[in-house]
Amino acid sequence: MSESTQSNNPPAHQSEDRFPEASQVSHRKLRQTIVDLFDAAEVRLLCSDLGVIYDDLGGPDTGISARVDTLILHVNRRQRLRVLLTMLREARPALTWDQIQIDENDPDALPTVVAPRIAQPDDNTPDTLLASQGFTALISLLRRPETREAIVRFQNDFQAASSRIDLMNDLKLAHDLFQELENRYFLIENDRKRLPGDDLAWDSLALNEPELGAKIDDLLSLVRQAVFAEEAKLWAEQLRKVQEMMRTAVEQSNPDQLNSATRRLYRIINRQPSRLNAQLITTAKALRLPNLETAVTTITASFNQSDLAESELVTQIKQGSAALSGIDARLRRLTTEHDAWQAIDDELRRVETSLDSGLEELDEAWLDLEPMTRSLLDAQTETWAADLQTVLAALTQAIDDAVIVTARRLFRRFRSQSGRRFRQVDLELLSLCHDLQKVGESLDLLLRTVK
Amino acid sequence: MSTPDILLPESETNPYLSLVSVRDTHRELLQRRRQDDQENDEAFYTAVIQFMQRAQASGIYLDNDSDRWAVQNLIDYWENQLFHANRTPPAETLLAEFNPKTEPKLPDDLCPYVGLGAFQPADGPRFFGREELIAHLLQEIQNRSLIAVLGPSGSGKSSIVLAGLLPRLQQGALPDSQNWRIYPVLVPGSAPLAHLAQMLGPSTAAHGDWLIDNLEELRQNPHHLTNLVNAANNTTAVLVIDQFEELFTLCQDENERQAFLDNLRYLAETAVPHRHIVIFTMRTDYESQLSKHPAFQAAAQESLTRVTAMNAGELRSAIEKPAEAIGLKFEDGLVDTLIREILGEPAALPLLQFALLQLWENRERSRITWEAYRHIGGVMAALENTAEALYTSMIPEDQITTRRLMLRLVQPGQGLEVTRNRVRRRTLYQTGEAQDRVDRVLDKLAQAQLVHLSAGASPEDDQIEVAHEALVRNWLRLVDWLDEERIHLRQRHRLTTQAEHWADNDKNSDLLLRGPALIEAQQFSDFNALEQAYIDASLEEKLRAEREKEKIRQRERRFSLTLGVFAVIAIVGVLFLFRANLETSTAQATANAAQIDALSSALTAQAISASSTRDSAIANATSTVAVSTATAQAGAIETSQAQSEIRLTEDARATSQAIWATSTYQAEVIATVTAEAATAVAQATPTRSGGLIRPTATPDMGQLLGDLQQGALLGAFFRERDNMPMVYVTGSTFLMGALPDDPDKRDNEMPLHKVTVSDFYLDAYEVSVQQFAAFLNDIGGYKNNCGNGRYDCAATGFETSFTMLLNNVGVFEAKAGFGSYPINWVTWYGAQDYCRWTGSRLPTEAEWEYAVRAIDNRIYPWGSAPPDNTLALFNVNPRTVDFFKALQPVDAFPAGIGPFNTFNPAGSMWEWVEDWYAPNYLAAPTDGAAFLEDVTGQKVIRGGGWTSAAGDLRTARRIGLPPAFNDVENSLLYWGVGFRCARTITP
Repeated sequence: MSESTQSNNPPAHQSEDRFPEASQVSHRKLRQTIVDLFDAAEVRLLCSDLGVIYDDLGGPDTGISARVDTLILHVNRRQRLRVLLTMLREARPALTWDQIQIDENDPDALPTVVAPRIAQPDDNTPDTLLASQGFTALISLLRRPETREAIVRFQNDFQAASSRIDLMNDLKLAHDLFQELENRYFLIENDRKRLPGDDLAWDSLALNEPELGAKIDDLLSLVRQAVFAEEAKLWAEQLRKVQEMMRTAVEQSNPDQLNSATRRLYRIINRQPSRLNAQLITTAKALRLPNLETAVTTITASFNQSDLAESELVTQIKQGSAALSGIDARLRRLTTEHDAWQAIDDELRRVETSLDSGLEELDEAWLDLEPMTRSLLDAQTETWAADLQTVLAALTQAIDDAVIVTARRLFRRFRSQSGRRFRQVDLELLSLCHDLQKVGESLDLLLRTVK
Repeated sequence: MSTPDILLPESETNPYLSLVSVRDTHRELLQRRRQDDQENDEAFYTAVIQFMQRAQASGIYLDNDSDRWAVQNLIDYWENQLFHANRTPPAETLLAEFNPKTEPKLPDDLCPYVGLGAFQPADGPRFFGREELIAHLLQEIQNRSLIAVLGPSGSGKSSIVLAGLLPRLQQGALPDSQNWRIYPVLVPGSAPLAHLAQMLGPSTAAHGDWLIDNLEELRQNPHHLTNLVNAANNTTAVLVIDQFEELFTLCQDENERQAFLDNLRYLAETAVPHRHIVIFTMRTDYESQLSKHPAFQAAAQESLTRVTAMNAGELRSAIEKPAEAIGLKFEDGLVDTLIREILGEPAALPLLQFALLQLWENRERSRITWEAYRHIGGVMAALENTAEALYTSMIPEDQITTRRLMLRLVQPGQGLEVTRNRVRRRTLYQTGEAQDRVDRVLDKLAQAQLVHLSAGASPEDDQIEVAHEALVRNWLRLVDWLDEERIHLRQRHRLTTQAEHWADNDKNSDLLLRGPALIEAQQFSDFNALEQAYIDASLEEKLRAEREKEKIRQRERRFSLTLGVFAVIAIVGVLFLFRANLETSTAQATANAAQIDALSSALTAQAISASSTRDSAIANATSTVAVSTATAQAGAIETSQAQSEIRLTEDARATSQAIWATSTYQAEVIATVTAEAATAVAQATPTRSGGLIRPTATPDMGQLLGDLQQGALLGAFFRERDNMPMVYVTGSTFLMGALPDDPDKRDNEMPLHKVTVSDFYLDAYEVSVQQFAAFLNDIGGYKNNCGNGRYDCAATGFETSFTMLLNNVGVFEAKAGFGSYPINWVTWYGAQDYCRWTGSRLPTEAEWEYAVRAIDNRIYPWGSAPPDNTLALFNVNPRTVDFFKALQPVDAFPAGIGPFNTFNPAGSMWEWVEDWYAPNYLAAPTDGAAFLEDVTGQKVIRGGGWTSAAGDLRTARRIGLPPAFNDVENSLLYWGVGFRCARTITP
């Protein structure tokens, strides 16, 4: 490794360079540049600095080129491309952005990580973008010793926030993938229920099983490089086994094995999203964005009396600081609602498995479910809330009257409608986590620059 | 995990036994979480973790896929909750694998079913299937205060109220109902006001005075109940009266009944300061009784709820849910079968509950099996089978006691109705039964759930009642007993009516009782003055008529009788001499023979002159006998005295008949038997004065009987096949059955009736083990080898230790030293086949009774002295005395022989006779033949056994017993059953 990689004082001009956006970076050129400029040991070191496990980038026979390719995609998906580029520049100061940008001969940019589409888009200029820009502006002011000193003072807060944003994003992505996995599971379960009477179910299973398998692959792939990879090892292994069982069951048309596989899969789906949610909530609470806001406000206080007071950079920093409050409020709202819907979902799942044998469990659960749902709906005036209120009232009546058939039907309608709202909140939170990654990336850059 | 043979009650660490148990704890946790904010309650989360661990472990007991899935989901649910609360769940949350070897053996005290009894309030958690009806009743209570729940017996109305409605009220199903005062359930009994006062009264020392004062007040003041309840409660009170029909069946005091109803009605009408609720359950068949109390009826009609038969879903709940709660499982299809059996039967719930209880008792570990179902015989037959199995397993004494007890607990009315009584144990002791026997029988009945015992202040105060009326409808033996009792009551009622009719018609003698009607009337003892006068007048009239008739008879036969007496004297003298000669030297015999020759020549001459009379046949026979007897005597003398077979020629038998022909018809009734027989004997009975026979001066019954006994010996012979001595029983007419004044008389010994038996031979001894072993060896086995190969002949040492008959791999022999002991544990078929094997038959019941009773109506075979240990073997307690030490050889107790020299006719072994058992003698033959109509499935045994009480040794005593046992272990009665054979005398 060159000496420059160990330097804590990067050249001033580098900080002033504008990082290319992911859409401007050629996937092929970046991979080739890294392969050309770094040997395997250095790539392993890069991975370590990025929190990526080198060995998980491929199998024992995977070459360095393929591993680097995987690393780039992983970093890009986690919106940490600029961090990677910074590290590359630190290690190889001769590296220029021109080397890796797309051109006419090489138009294939890195895939853009698209935020989840949500029903209610945020403001024109999202708070997360403002916050990200604010931290990036701070990087530009690092040359000032008092600024540097102030940032170093808050280094731990920034580091912790970055890590938590990273973890939140991983958790939410996994949660989201579980949601998609459950959708695939339902297709498989519907096919399973047609057996053994309907042989055509096997044809349908032959189509649906690979889809399920692919979704499990996505989840496993995510988990391998997730911050919580170690904790997830157990269920990831279970998921892998289920995938194998499911494949064999369908290939061999073995209903018993199919039953066993679907039960196991359901059990994972039944437990893990709830766990991920619990971790997400805990992480969100620990994020403490107001602390970050305080830190930035403290840092910018020193600018007020300086020549920079009115500069564009300081304005960006202040806007970014102010945006953190908005992000925090939104995060709180979404995590609270997400948590509430998750709790409702847990209850609904519990009831659903016992519904065929009577209303007793629903009867008991409804004592909790009804107030839980009502508290979520009371403040809402939107159509979905009104619709759900209607079903809620009807279901309450059916349970009181002990009309089993009606209660079952309304329960399923309630489950469907509440599930839709849960999904909506899910996506909003996913979107926020995605956007927060920008903030995290800026924080990582800032910290790396400080180092 | 090791196999838990006996699972302890669920503790904090044991696995749950069932999904229901898991769900129960799960719900408790939900409720606990709901009550307070448990976020930071470590105890709550510790409980959650504990629940998860137990639920996880319960997988070893759960084999049903859907149950496992449900439990797994509950575990996962709580795991999620722990994560959400940032707690660490247990390491293992995957349900343990089911292991059939670890399936728990459910302990008996977990029994989820109640049997015949009604569900009680404490049974609420296991009472299912009546949710709709209970909801309806709750609604009724909101609007009404007098709630009537009516249904057929066995429809479950008591259970609905006690185990369904009351617990829900206590749980607050209606506003504030959890704070209502619910009084203990009241059953009216014969003194409803007293019971009411008892229930309301204080439990203090002054209770007695309080009771007296308030009981009177309740009688006088219809508002008094309301006042008492208002004074004692600051809230709504609930009064439940179960078995309301007792107000009409047991309470005989119309004023008390009315006062009770008025008090209830006013209580239910009370609105201030609180309204009170009166709920009563009553059988539909007594609904019409309410019409006699229009005010109460009108109030009750407003909120009358009728209990209908449960539908299939309700029945399924009633069967499955209590089982699920403890992890009891049914084999596939079994519940469906149970439901099919009783679906639509409005009164079958007790049968279902009883069958479920039986199934539970025959379960395998935690599973109700088809085998158990087959064993109990299905829902509809389980009760009957259980009751019958218990009854037939009892020793005869206990069977009798059972009948008596049951007829105290349920009594037939004039019509088809039956009244249930609650009786104190003390009262049952007063029936004359031995207390220990009463206790023993009650224990057995209670153990089989046929009767219900409510503990009293002391054991004597225990209240006893039949567990349910279903027993009355479904135990056919009890139905028979009740029918007999009903007939008895009708006869009694008829006597009263006839006596009144007689009195109303100036005591017209044409209206007096005669013939069977008079005999029937003499069975009763509790006559009033008019009835007693009627009976006395009837008897007087009868005697008068008989005296008239006899005078005519005597005139007609005076001449022939004179001739006959001479003939008799001669023949008896010959026979006496013959017997004496057996005991004297050959030289003496030769001398006597010369005398006989001379005497027989004279008799022959006399007989010729008597040929034109009605007794000429006797005279002819006598002369022939005289000659041939003398000849035979000479032959006998030539042979050894120790010869094994003594034969009397047919002529000698005819002679013996002739001796008694003159007296048989005189034995029509007790009074005339003595007089007539004595008269005849006075002229015909020989004495031994001077070695020759001379008439005595006065009639003597003792001597008459002595000669019967002598005749038995004279006619005796050793049977060829088994060397059994058979005595000659001279036939006669006698009165069969219990005498009216017999304090120990039983219903089945009545009516007393006249029977004429012909002469017959009867074994002097009960058949011995050695003899029976020889029979079995000859026919080649005992298993399914008697009764045309359909029945076992007896039990051997293979099956029971209470026998002396050894079975050495198909070779039968007596236990060493016991060859001459009586065979026991023999079936009727075994006895019959044995007798046939010897060219004999079983005696008829009439023959048997005559052989022990003769013509003097003796109480015991030896006379009137009560039994003691010199007379018979009886009253042995098999639990304390060794069987082999208790029994005696067949020739033991010479002091206790019968009038015809039969040994051990009472005690030792009960003895099979030919007859099928009937519960009385109404249809019994009067010619000495056997009763051959199978109306009970039982044959008669007579004479009492080694374990019998003294009363069972009476000559009139009889009981019925199935002719063969099904399985030895449950047929202990047969340990005291043997037999002897008879042989018809053919001309």
